[in-house]
Amino acid sequence: MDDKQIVALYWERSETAITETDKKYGKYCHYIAHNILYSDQDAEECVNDTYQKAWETMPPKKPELLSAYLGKLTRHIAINRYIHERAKKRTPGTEVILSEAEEFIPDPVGSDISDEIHLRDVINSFVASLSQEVRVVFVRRYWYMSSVKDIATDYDMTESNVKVMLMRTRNKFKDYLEKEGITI
Amino acid sequence: MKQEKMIRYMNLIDSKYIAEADPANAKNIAKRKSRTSLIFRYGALAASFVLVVGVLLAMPYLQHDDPVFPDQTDNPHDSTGPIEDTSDHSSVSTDTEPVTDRPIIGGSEYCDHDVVYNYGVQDGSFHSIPGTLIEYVGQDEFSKWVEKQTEDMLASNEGKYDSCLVFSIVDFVNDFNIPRLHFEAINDNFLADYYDYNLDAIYAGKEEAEAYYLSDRSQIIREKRFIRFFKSQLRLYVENQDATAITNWIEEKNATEWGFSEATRSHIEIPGSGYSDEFRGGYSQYSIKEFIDYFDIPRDVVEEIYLRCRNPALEGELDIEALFSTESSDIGSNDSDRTDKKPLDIDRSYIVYKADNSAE
Repeated sequence: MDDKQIVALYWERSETAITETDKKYGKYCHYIAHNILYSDQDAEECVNDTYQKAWETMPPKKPELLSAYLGKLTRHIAINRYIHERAKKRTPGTEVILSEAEEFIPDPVGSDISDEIHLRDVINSFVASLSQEVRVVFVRRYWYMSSVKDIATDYDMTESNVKVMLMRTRNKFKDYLEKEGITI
Repeated sequence: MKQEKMIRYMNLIDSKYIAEADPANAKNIAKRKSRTSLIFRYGALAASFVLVVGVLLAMPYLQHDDPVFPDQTDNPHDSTGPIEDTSDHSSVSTDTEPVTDRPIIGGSEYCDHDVVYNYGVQDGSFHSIPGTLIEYVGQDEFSKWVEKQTEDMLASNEGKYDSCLVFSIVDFVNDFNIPRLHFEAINDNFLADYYDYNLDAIYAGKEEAEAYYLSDRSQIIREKRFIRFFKSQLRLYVENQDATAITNWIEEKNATEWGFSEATRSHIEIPGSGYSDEFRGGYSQYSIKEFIDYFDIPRDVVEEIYLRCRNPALEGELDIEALFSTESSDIGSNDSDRTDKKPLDIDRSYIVYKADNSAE
C-alpha cells in the first residue's frame, strides 16, 4: 500500500491505518527508537506511542513523506522518554552521540536564537550543501543516531572513514553556524 | 543544555533529508558510491577505459575535420558520436599502446586537490599512490601507514580540506623515503601520459605541493590529452606504412639512446618494482618533433593529422612551421634549452597560446 493510501485511511478514521503503518514502517520506527533507548521493550512502547500520535494528528496533518513524519514522531517520543529515564539509567550509545554533538552545538548561554525559521533555514542549507554521501552519514549519525559501525556497514565504508567524515562535518557545521551569526 | 539543543537542531532537518538517509535506502546509495569510486580508486583501470573510449571517439573523426575532443563540459557517456567504418584504422598494434602502471590507489571524488578534468579519469594525483610504489614499500606497510594517517588525523582533529583522503603522495614519499630517481623512472615510464605527478612540487614539500594541486591545472590536462592523441595518430600512420617500424624504433632507442642492450635490459630493474627501467614507447617518453624527424613524416601528413586532432578547448595551436623549421629559435627557444627538457615539455614548447596563457 502506498503512503497516500495509508494517509487516506487515517483521514477516513479507519483502524486499518495503524495495521498498514505497522506493516510498512514498524521496523523503521523501531530502529529509530532503539538507537536512542537501547531497549527492545522501550522501543516497542515508543513505536506504539508513535502510532497513537499519528492517529491523533492525521487529520489535520497530511504528510508528504509519511516515513519522515513517522520517524520524527518516533524520535521525538523516544528522546522525551530518554530524557525522563536518563536520571535512572544511562544509555551509553546515545550519550556518546550527544557528547560528540556538544563539539559543534553553540552553548545556549549568551546565544540569541529567537528566530526558529532562520535557524531551520541555516541548518537545512548546510545539510543541502553537503555531498549526498556526507549528508546521509551525518543524518544517520545525528538524526537516526545510528552507530558508526552500522553506518560503515550500510555505506560500504570503514569505521575510520566514517569517523573522519563526521569529524570534518562537525567542524564544518560549527564554522557554518558561526558564519551565520549563531555564535558560541 | 547543549545536548538538548542538539536535539532541537536536528529536529529542524527537512523530511527529505531524513527520507534520503533512511537505512532502507543505504544499500542503493552504497551501490552508486561503489560504482563511482571504482573509477576513481582504480585510476589505471579507468585510464584503460578512457583509452578504449578515446579510440572509439577518434575513429569517426579520422575521416572528418571536426574537432576530436568534445567540450570539457560534455558528458563522456553521452558523446560517443556516430561510429562509422573503422576498418582502415582499427588495427592498432598493442605494441604501440601506452603502458600503464599497476592500479593507482587513492584519489578523491570531491577534493579540491584532485579535480577531475578528464572524463572521469582522476588526472589530479595529490591523494593517489601509484601501485608500483605501494609494491615497493609493501602492501602491509602501506596499509599500516594508511591506518596511522587516519589515527593521526582523528587525534589532531584536523579537517582543513573537506573530503580529502587522509593521505597524500607528499606524505607517502616523505614517510617512506622514496628516492626521486625511482619515482621519476616510474612516472616517465608509466604515469606521465595520463597522470599529473609534478615531482618538483611533490619533493619541494607539502606546502608547495598543495599550492600546485589546488591551482587550475586544466590546461596541463588538456595539453596531455591533445599530445597523447596527436602522437597516437602519428604512430598509427607509421604503423600503417610499416607494421614493425615502431617495435624496431623502441629496440633501437633502448639500444642506443637509453643505453640498454637487448642482453642486459631484462636485468636492469627499478628496485622492488619489478619493472625494467627502459624505454617503453609511452607518449611522454618522446617528443613529437623527434618522432616526426626519426620517421621522416611529410609535413602535409602531419598537417592533415593535426587538422583531425585540433582541440578548441586547448586554446592553443601546434606550431607546425616551427616543428619543421631547422631553426628551433623560431618559437623563442633554442636547442640547448630543449636538450634539458623532458619530451612533454618540448611538445608544450611547440604549442602557441593565443594570449600566451600557457599553464606552465
